[in-house]
Amino acid sequence: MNNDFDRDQKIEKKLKDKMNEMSASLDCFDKISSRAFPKIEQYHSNDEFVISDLENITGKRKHISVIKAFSAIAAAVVCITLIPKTGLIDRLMCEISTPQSSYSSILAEFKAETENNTYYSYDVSLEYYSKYDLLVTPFNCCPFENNVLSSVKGGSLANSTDDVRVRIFVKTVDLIQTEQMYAVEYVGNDFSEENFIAIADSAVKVYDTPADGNEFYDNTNDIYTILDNYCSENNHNNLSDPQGNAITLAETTFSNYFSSDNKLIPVKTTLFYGHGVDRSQDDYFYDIISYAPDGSIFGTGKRQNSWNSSVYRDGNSAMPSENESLFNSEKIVGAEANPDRPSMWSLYPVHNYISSNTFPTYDSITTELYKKDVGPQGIVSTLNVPKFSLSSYNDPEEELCIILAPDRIEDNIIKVSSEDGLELFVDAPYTCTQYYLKDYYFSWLDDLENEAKTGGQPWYEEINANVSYYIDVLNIINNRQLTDEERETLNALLEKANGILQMISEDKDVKSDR
Amino acid sequence: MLSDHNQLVGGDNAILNLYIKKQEKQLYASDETNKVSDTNDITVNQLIISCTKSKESLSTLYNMFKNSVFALAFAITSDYQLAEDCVIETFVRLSQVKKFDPKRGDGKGFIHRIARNVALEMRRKFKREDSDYFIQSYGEADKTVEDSIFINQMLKHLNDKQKQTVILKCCSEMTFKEIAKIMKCPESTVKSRYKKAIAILQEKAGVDNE
Repeated sequence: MNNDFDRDQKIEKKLKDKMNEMSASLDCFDKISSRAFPKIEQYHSNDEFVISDLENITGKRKHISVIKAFSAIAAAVVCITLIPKTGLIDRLMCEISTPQSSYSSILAEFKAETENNTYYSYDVSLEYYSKYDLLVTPFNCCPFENNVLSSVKGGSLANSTDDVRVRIFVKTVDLIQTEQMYAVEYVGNDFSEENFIAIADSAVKVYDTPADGNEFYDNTNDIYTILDNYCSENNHNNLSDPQGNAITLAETTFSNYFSSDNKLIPVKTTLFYGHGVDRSQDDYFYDIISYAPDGSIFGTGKRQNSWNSSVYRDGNSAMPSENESLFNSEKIVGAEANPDRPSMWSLYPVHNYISSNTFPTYDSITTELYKKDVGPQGIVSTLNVPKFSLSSYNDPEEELCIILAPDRIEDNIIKVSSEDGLELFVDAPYTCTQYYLKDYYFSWLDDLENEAKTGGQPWYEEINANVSYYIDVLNIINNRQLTDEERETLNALLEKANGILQMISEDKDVKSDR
Repeated sequence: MLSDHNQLVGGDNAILNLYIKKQEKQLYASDETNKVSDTNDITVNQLIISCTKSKESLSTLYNMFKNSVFALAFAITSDYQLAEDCVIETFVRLSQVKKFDPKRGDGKGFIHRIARNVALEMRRKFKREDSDYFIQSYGEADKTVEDSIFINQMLKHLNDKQKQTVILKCCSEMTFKEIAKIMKCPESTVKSRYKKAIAILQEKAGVDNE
């Protein structure tokens, strides 16, 4: 046995030595440094200067000939009246007549704003943003067209939409996000001015200060009431809408300042979003409700598109002609509860595992309620929910809980966001989630173990694909934590669960080896 | 967990238990050793906070962690050039971190989490761009090429999670608890994964030597 251990040590040492030898030749700090601490760029790019600008650097006032000016105006009038009214000319005229901020003026505003104020920024692919805009900028739709042609039109070198990303900057006051924001569409990996494709600015500009004495309203109970009325169970014990259609549903609550009467009002907003499982393939829906400090409803229903303008480098509008968002408005807030619905009997208050890092100004609670049947009725194979791995996690700041983490990073449906400063959003609206366990889950684990022992089941897939959650309205409101006794039981069960997972994993390995 | 393992293996449980206990003892001992380095965490945390503005801090972090970040990136991408790019991207991102809470501790883990995410992103992107084939670059110097091939040959028998676990343990000298946090799985899983990975490496090394 000692020999075994020595051999282990040898293997480890050999691996480490080889890796160190290989990385010894690594010398890339200059590259890191040049990107991390770029030299301050000049405000204007060279191509924005023209000869007349350079000639006027002394500040000497230019004299424009009256005759020249008159000639130019006359020529323009003649052109406008005589040129045939083609579609191109109509469009040109339309664009000229529309009050539109130019690219350079928005860029200048953006630079000045982000330099002199505090902005919270995050990054997302254009592809993702255009589909899941609700989850990126909850109050605004994606302001950019999502196609290659439009990118090329904007004078960029994007080879495909895969290369195009959007960086969003939200103005914050006392670390709280406001309505003022900018979105920059760019190509490539470097967020530098030469890679910019288009820029958009919000209609609201925030210069106000927070109103005194106002605090964010605690809408926790309101959310539970809304969920209680909207959610139900259908005959197959699936989480369902009031009509009995199986759904997945998530909720996220965040705090923002809204400008009103020259003051910033603290507004608590809850966004509900979900996916209709048996309604249609791409049936994503949402509802949103905002509360004023006194608990009155500040706003609800459809999102408003409050972008002021969105322009390409060449000055053309980058605003999409139609919204490509997957999410459609649905009445979740104020839905009437079905009096005949079956009772729901278990609870998982859910906290978003990464939200405190991802959204520093958002509340830490993000509830995702996935519901799927694992009973003897069989498997709902068409449910479009992310695949999860099951693991336990003991966070000293939280209670013991189960984390359902995405199984594969390559999975197109879900990916865990990184904890780095840029908060790169990825391909899916779902995030890693942790769940508290209750009794039903315990029995489910027993079932799972029995199935594992009897064999013949695709255990691993089943664990990942068949997780059942129920809502217990009473417990949601109480938000009860586990007792010590329950925690002990849970620990034992977690060990058991891990044992099963291990068995499955090893069984899988053996099969694959064969 | 271990009892399950025993049930699976069956046979000479007493010997197996002894072996596992010995190994665990050694592994825990190694964890204890690592605890000594916890005092360094404070420094690392401070450096992370200051590196957004200080090139020196970033340089210090780079020198402290470039090897382990590279190792992790190489284990994930199996490609020298991609791993080097990962190192660059990791430290650039680190320099842009706006919110790092030192109370949550574990700056070392934070850096490796970024590195892991970056490497996985790059691998995914690279695979998508070249889905039909996977070109591996092995650096320029002969020695580097040799080492790259050696490590790739060594790690090719492990699955993705095993590779990352082994590298984080051997090259980054992280504790199982730290690895569990990075890989978001239970500590017990990390331990068993590590043991299995080492066993595979042993077995393959034996075969290769033969």
